[in-house]
Amino acid sequence: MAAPTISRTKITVTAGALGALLLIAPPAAMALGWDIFSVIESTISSDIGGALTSITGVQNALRQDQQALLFPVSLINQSHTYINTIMTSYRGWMSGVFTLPVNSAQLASSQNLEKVFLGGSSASLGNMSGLYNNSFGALPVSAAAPQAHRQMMDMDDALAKDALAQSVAADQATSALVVIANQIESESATTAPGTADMLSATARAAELQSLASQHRLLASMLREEAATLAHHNGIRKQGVQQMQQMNTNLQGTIAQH
Amino acid sequence: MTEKGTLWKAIVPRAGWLCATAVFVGVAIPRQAHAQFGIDLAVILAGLQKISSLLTSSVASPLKQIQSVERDAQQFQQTVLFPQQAINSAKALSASFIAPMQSMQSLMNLHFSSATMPNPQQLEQQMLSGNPNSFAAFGNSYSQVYGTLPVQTAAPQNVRSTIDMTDAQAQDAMKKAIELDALATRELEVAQSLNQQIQTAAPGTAPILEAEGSAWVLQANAYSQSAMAALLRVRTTELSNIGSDVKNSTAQAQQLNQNLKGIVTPH
Repeated sequence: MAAPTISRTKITVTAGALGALLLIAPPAAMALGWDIFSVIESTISSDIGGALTSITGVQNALRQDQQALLFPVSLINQSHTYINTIMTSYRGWMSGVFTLPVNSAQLASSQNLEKVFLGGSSASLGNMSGLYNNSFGALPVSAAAPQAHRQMMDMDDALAKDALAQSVAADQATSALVVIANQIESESATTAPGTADMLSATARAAELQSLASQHRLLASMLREEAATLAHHNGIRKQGVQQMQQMNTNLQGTIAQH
Repeated sequence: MTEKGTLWKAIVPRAGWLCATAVFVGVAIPRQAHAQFGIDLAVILAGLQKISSLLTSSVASPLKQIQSVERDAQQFQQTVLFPQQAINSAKALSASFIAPMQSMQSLMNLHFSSATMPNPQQLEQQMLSGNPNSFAAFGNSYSQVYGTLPVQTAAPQNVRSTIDMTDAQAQDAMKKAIELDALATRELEVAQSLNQQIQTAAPGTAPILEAEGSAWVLQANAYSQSAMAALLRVRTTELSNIGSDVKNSTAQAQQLNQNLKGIVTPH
């Protein structure tokens, strides 16, 4: 009967000792805790930190490129200075040459017509027809010349007057275009690299307008050249007609004898 | 001994139970530092401090640098590359061109009428109409002013060919002039439109409009080239006419010689 009593005591003592051992011994989870921290630290320092450092490096390089290579303020200022120098050096001279008087007529009637030609104002075109007739003569009356000749003369004069009027209008438009070009240049002297394209686009629109004006002038030149050709051809046709008439007359004369 | 042994026997089991209970309580009650993982508070604090230190040095510091770079870039963009004042100024400049461009458009669209006789008036009107649809009636108006092709019996074939070719070149050029006027009218409209569009454009979209303008300028240059080619043909025809006249004179002189020889030679 004594054995169970001893056994219970031993069991109790053993359980207490085991419990104490459990409390004293370091838990296995602690090593796991250190591993998690290591992973987090590694992620922060290597992955995130490394990536951020890399991004910082790239951004610094981009900024450096933008500010030192692509758009250095010193070169922007240099460009502005260059444009100002160009404006100062050339604008006045160009304008002076462009507005040099080229009038050369000596007679009063010619001078008046020349003044209209070179005036560069469409407002004075109303007087042009009369002044043109003073210089180049009026259309002969119907009894003075054959109808065919009168028609061609009238057409020649009409196209000449139209072309002259067009040239005066073109001169006026040219003056306006030069003003626009100068204003764009002045703006370029202060504009930023990012807004220069806006000025370029504006200049393109004005350039297109200029080309349209040139097309009008080319059309006018074409009409004049074509009319000259048509006139010469018309005279040739009349020559043929006259020759035919002469043959008919000769044949009639010979037939009478 | 008996009393002592009895006492010992009574104490030992109770002490064992007490120890077991204490151990159970010690194990069962959750302790603050160990939490659910059973890690020491000091270790956690040390880890967190290291993480905090790492976040400061490895994350916050580069982020501050990035922020600084971004702020610097933004400032550079706003003050050097795209200053609002320069944007407004460019737009204002474009707006100021509306009136002179409209004035130019009116100038270049002026219609003249200088002919005094009915047939030249009709031809002039067609030539200056800028209406490409008027080509069908053009030949008739032209013939009424400059005459028609002589009939077959009225002139030698070579003369008729020269006359026909010359008339054709003259009419082609006049029609080309009508085309050019029509094209110029549209170009003036597009130029105005582009200029208006620039006023609502951003610096970033201006190159798109510039590209559109460039395309139109290129197209316009192509039309100029076409006009110059037409001009060249007209002048070439003038030259050919001079050559043709000399050839005809030569042929006529040769024929005259033949005729004279025929008369002079005794029969």
